[in-house]
Amino acid sequence: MSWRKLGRMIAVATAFSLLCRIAAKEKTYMKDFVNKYCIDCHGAKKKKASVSFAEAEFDIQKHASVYFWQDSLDVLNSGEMPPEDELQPSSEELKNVIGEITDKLQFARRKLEATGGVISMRHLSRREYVGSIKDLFGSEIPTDALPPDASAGFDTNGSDQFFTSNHYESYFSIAQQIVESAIQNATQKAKVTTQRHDPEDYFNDLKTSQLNNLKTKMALLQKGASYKEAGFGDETQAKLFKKRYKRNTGRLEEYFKRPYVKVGSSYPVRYAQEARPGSLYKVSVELQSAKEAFMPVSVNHQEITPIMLKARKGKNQTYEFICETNLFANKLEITMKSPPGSGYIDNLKITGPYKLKESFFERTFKKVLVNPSVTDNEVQKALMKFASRAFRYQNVNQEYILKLLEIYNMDRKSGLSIQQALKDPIAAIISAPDFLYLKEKNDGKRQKLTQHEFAIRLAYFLWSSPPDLELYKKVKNKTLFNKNVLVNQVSRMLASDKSDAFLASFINQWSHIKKFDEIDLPRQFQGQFQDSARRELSEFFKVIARENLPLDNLIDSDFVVIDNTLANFYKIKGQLQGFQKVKVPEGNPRGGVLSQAAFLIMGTTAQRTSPTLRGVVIRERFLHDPPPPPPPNVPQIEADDKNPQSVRMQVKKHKEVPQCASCHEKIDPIGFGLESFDYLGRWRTIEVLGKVEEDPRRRKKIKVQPKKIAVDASGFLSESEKFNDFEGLKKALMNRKNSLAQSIYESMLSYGIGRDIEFVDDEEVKRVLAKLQKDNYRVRDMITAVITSKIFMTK
Amino acid sequence: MSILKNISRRSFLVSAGACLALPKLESFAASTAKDNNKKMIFIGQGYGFTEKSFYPEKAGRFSQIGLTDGLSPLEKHKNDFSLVGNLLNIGAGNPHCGSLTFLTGAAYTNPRNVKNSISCDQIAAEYLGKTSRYSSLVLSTNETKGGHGPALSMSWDKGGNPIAGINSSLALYKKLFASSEDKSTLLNRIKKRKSILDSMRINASGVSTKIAKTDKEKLDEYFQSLRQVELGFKRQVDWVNVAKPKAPFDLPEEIDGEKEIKLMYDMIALAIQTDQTRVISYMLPEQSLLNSMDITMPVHSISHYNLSTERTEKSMQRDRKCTELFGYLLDQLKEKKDEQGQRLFDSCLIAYGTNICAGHKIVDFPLFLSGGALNLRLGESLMLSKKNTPLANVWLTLLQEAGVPIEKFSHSTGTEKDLLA
Repeated sequence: MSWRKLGRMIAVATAFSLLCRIAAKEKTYMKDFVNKYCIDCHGAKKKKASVSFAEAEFDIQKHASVYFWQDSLDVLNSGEMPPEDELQPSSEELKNVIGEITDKLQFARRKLEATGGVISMRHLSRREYVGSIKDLFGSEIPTDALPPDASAGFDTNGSDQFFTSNHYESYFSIAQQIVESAIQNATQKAKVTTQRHDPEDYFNDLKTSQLNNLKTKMALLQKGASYKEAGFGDETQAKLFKKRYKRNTGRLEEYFKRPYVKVGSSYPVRYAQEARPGSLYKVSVELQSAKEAFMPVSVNHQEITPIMLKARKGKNQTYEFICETNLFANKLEITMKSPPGSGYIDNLKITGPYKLKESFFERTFKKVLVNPSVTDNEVQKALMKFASRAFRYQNVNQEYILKLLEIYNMDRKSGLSIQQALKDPIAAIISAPDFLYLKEKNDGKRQKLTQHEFAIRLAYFLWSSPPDLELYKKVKNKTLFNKNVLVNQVSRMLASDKSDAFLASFINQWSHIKKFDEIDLPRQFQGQFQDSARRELSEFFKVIARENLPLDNLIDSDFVVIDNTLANFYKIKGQLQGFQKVKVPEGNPRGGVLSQAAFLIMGTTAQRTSPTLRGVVIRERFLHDPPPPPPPNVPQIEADDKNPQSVRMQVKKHKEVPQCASCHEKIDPIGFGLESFDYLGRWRTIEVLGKVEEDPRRRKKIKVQPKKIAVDASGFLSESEKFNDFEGLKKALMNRKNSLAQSIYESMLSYGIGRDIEFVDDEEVKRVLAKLQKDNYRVRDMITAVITSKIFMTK
Repeated sequence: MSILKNISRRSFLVSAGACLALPKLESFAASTAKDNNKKMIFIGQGYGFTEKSFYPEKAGRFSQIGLTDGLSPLEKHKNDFSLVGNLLNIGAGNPHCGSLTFLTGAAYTNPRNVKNSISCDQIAAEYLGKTSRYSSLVLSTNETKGGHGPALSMSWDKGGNPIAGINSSLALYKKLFASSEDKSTLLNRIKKRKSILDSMRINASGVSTKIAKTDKEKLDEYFQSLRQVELGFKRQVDWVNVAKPKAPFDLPEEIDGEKEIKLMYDMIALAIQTDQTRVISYMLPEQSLLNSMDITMPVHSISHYNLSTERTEKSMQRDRKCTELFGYLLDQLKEKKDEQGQRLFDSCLIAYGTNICAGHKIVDFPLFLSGGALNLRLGESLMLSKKNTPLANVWLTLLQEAGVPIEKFSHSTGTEKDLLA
């Protein structure tokens, strides 16, 4: 045996330690437990309640055994068995046996659920639908207009998807809306206008009316009017009003003394106007700023690159940017923060709508749409051409096109114009199964994809959109399976902005970042911080992938990818334009995913940290060893809240109940390693006990006898992998980076092929991982490895 | 919860046998449905209640044993509802699966079959819903954290697929009350939509010759959806001559959790009063209800109320609000009369409950039964004689009493005569 081969084998052994750990657990408790506590009543002779362990299968392989052991586990968890008047197991025994049965059942289920690698035909996920529409119409629609993705795993998982009449109705009505916008853009000339917005107008009016209001009321009171006549609820209100009159009017008068009050405004600007869907607008901002700074800008609630302000004291500066409306947007809303210090915004000028680059839809239909004497033949040809691309050049049924022509003629006969009559036939194309479903031919056996099918799978994997002309060309020349051609194509595709869709949506789905959206943050952390924190992970992953860095950067890295908001939050100095790669300063705990604000906040419950939630995510994602779901009917933990307790003490209560301890002992101690971050992800060395409730909707704080104790972040991954603090946790995870590599690789593969990774895949996965390990699992290499793997090329 | 990752809506479960029990309802229904005036309302709660303060300790008439703290808001209805105990839903295998199987009872332990099965309201709809505008109304919420698990609504179709619900009072309002489209426009629109359906069939049949068996199932599902849409059109045509009622009130602009539920309950009563449907399921929003009570803690945290006295208090507060709202629905059904001048309450069955008793406990969960449609024993804490009686038996009993001719539902082992007076 060569050394190389041996090395590979060792790598494989470590990468699959999880499976081995379960499959060949050294110590087994089940048999002893059964013999000691169960067999007397449930044995070969005495089969109480017709349950017998005489022929029980202790390694749980068969379906029947799964049922049998699940039932046994249920009665152990609920405490029904052993009966009260019989010999009782110790907590330790109970905990061990419950843990073992739970693990084995989970393993058996995974095995029995395996399909042998069958990929179910699937329909486009939300983002793939949007990408496909953009390919045809040159413009996007908002994803939340579409029916939600069904899978709790990756949104590409076909066997988790379902299709009901509601889906049909939604897809068709969305299609109608898309086509209506597109036809309007193709046939009606847009009138370009410029609208000027002076932000001071609104504020000046507002402040004037506030001032007048105060003055009128005061005049009434001075004339001797009663509190009622002056519009107050009672005498006290009127008294207070008088008392505060001077201060309040003074503030308003101060406002009008600002030197630029007639010219501009120092308040944040929010401006909205009606707009044409699927068009471009030019925005020009005139302002003054005495300082160099970045000014954040959002268009229709989406952040765009901030404006980099120059320092020009007393002089107007003008900045321009272009923005785009999607196919469903009939307004343009621009919000921007004002320049710092004494700066102000003078005015905004919005010019548009301009046409976007001619789309495939326009090229195909423009003549047909505006030609009053268009023939059926021409309409049919256009429909055919459009459907071919929409159906990704996988054949179009002639009979189908004729049916669409019939619908068109039905509308024409009822008096509709050509444009109106084409709406439904085109909408029918982009809601037809040939468009919605990704079809891969298969005769029941696993087989290699055709180049055409492979190109489609590849494009949806890396771009969330259909192939472009270059890819189709490679298919036509039959060169896509040529290794060099393929590797070049992958580099080209990854370099394109379109691959942002993959890098971001993959890593977000992998990390379940959706859970972050479900946490109610205190008010001051909503908005900007929330957005930045959510984006950090995907920006970070993009850098790792594009620079082909080792995967272990997810555990710990010497850089972060952050914007100004996060820099501020992480106490890192510097002025940043959008998200940038920044070196982590000495002594700062950030770097890697574990210390990212969004990741930490996901492990939050009821305004405190949850070592359990945090531990579960680390087990699932980093250690590739998801814990089983909580069992039903376990006894509840009793509270003792006479004395305020640390989170650590609260969580440790899981230990008191063996049914809880059997799993939580392998979850909570991992999460303890992140106790150095509070529930909002802020670094802390001290934990404040007693309730500090920060109500996200009101600014009220209720404090109950705060008591401070030093944070204890020690814990363990397993008994032999103990750590003392956050640094120690990272080191322990670094030693297990093979598990992370397996987690990411299998997830990426699963995301790409649209099914779960199963036992049939193990051999190839092992082989690929062993290869990637030699270069410390570089991420772009990993993506290429997914694409060139046999599994990815197989249906 | 992160744990939910393991249970996608589909990779969940169940026994293929669960839907075999359906007889050919269509032909049967036509002959006997005429005299049947019964309506069924199924309401799903999500998280359970506070064990010690909500559940009666023993069986007996409420007028004798009294109402617990959690049930106290139902004082005025205490002779008109029962709380059924000693139940087990074989399908609810995991507390985090929430309401997925509350109305279906599909079993989770079979690892190979990964489907849910038809819910009892949909069986009722096939039978009782023949003569109304909508065979059933499926009401739900957009909330994802209410303890219902990854369910779209309480209802599942024949194929075990989730039925998306009407998720807001606004959407229900639009569905129930008159719009401006005239008859010929409507008929024309439907005619064209039918042609478009045909085009989809042609398109899909091009796919079916070249694909594997599992994919054929996917395609069948697609054809099923087309068929459903078509049936919907047919019903619209059947009802084209009957105008929808005018809305009796304007929708308020801002609606919080409690008001939203009340409004839904108002419209449930109206929908029944105007005979637009006879079967309704409603998956209640949970978090927004808490928020409207000025409780900002996640409802999941409240469900683990044992961890502090503060949580326990809030949980009890939530319990009372839930039963108060249930009482509000009963009020509506008692106040409103049908065409014959009879209280709606007298021809309704209302079933309200959840798979979860308290915390992670999923046996002995609560099921409220009320209404005069069936000959039920009302006004008591009703402990079924056998511990762990399958919930499917209760659904079967209710369906049979409502006149639905089925012999078995899901994992039922028989009917429960104890429920009947």
